[in-house]
Amino acid sequence: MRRSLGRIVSGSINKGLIALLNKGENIEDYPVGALITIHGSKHSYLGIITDAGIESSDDIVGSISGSGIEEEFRVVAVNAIRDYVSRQKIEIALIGQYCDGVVRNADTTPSFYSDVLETSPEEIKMFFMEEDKKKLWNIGVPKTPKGIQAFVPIDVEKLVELSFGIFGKSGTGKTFLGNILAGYMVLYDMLRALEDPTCKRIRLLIFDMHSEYGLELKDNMGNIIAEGIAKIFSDRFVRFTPDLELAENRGLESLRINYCDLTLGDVALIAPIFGVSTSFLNYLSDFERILRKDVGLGDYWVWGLILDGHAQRRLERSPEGQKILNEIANKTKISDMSILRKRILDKIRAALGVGAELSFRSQTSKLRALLSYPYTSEERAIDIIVDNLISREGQNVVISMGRYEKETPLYMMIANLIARRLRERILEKTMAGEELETKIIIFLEEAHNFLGKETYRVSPFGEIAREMRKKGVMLCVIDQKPSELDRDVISMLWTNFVFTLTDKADVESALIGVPRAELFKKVIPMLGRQEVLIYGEAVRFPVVIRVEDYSKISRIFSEYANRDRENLNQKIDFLRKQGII
Amino acid sequence: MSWNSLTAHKESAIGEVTGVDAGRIEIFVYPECYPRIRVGSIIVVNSGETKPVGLVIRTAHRPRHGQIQPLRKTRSEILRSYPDLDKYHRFVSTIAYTSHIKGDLIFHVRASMPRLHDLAFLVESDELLDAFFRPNGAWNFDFLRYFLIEGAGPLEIRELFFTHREYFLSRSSDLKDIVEALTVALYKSGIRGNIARYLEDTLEALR
Repeated sequence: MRRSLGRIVSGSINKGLIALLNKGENIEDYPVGALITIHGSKHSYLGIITDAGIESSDDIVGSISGSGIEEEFRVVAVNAIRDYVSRQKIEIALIGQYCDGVVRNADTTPSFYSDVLETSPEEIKMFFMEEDKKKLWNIGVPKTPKGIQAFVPIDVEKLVELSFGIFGKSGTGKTFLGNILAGYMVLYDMLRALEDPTCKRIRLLIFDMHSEYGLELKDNMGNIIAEGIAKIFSDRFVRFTPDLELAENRGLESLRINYCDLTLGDVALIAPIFGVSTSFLNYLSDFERILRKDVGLGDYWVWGLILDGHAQRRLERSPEGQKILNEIANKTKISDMSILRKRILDKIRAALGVGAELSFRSQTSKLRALLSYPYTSEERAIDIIVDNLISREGQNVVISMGRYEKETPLYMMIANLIARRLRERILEKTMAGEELETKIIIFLEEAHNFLGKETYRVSPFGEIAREMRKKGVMLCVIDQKPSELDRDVISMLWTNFVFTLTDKADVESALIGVPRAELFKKVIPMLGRQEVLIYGEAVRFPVVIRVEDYSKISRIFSEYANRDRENLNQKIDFLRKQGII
Repeated sequence: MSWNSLTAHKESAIGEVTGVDAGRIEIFVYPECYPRIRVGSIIVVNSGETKPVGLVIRTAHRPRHGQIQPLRKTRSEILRSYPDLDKYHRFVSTIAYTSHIKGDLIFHVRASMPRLHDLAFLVESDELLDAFFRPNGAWNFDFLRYFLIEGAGPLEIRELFFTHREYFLSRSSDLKDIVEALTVALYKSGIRGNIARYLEDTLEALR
């Protein structure tokens, strides 16, 4: 028989229930976000503590505290009557109810003076189900007043069906969780393919700003904790990086950008990050037209924004740069970039006036950072990435930014280029009546760069979010400022993982679409490190869990990865013996 | 010493019941015992199987007949001149009925009422004081609820502790437990805003 912790004394399903704790209970044991069970007269209920507090019903404490009694006796006296004069109460948001063998969302309220109890491991299983290592995988331990040991699983099958979000302040554990979810998706796909080789495969595309999916995860001091998911499942991931040194040293594929692939929209998205003026942005479409047609640069128009004598000397130092200079010289019949620059300025002045010329002259210098990025005149990497994603025989892809982790414009260019190419290829396939062989999940860190209120309508990711769901492309939106995301984007997320957020607007944004959101608003700012509120399709009920230690889960991933590798080697050996390969 | 041995000898009685009025019992105190009785003294009334116990809340001393005449003498001169003077005086103590003894156990709850002329005995031994203040081995001042209802205030409570000061001081290591139990009893008695005053007065009496 479990000990009663308290009794329900007031409240409602929409505003939350109030329970008074029993004598002897310590309010300090009742953290916000903890699960609690309520035994009503007919049903059992599951709730989350959304607030906890104490109140004094008498001025007696004030009278003792303000008296001349010695401190030690004042404390004794107040403690002696604390149970009479104080009340410890918790506010509970009802989330689930159990009756007649059926678990469902709570739509009734427990009767007056219903018993409040610690949630048992059996109830956790009853309400959240149990890990089956197929589609249900343990994600962490739920928060409870006394700290029970029971796991809440995540339904990976449901998770990959629709887009989902991971939100939280920096350092709260988003990347750890992202790696865990990615790992479970890989396992889900692997194991499902073993059972049904004809099933639609899942492909992950992970934009990895801090190289913690492709290389190693680090703690806040920079110490390595464990290998990232793409490194653990190295046979199932192709790892790309724009950091050529990293590619060479750590065996990743290099990823260079072909600026010819950039559209006006791409440049308009990244240019403000370089600090160009609004006036320049207003002229940008005219500049593009002049550079493409009047100057004759065609697809090399972006180079026209940054090339001059200084840039030429820089490009001449590398074979890729020389190729680009040759292409430009062929197109414009000018091999001296100082002269080309002068011609560009003349054309702009003639077409748009002195103001536009001045704007071009002063603002393009801000775009010269493009010269420090890994550029190319070819575009193989992007196509290889997209081929991997849309082909049954392909692999998952991670783009680790390496030393460019703080270079948002480069990150945005890479992401936009891949997204646009991916969208084009998928549309080509579907227009041709072909069925897509894969379901693609794109992990997008710093998602507000692509899906913000201003960027959502113009970025390729916005188009993917809006159009591609039915074609099997989902987003894992990862961000620390959900309020900066377009409201439509958050509405599209069917499961959300919310770590602590303290800004009111962020909390409200993270809870868009949640029933009785007011109750959960109090929970999110109180979450500790690694604690996450999960709600949506992939969990049966909203729950706060402490995410399982990644280093522990990564060992499980490694075991599966090793088995997978052995299987693969056996197959290769077999095929070799048969003379097939 | 047990409760039974306290009441076993009628010679030990300090007086007898002369009136019962709800929660108050009036005791005629034998003149020679009068100086031993103070506010807060614990009196056991031998009423047979159930023995009412109470705390002295008021003491009185009046002439039995008519009015008193001024004598202009010292106490020793008076006693020399009138050795039987006390026979003409009435020594009365009123106790608040707070507890009862059944068998050898004390309960801080009232039971049956005493009858007139039942003998009254004064609790003075530390052993019985212990049994009264710590009936189950833990400090218990629940009897104060009746004491306060019958009209005791902070001063009577202070006098109660002062009357038994030696006893409480001999248990000074328990002072925190005493304060704890006293606070609970006062709270249960309905004392609210001025509970601190009661505690302050009590602690002063025990310094």
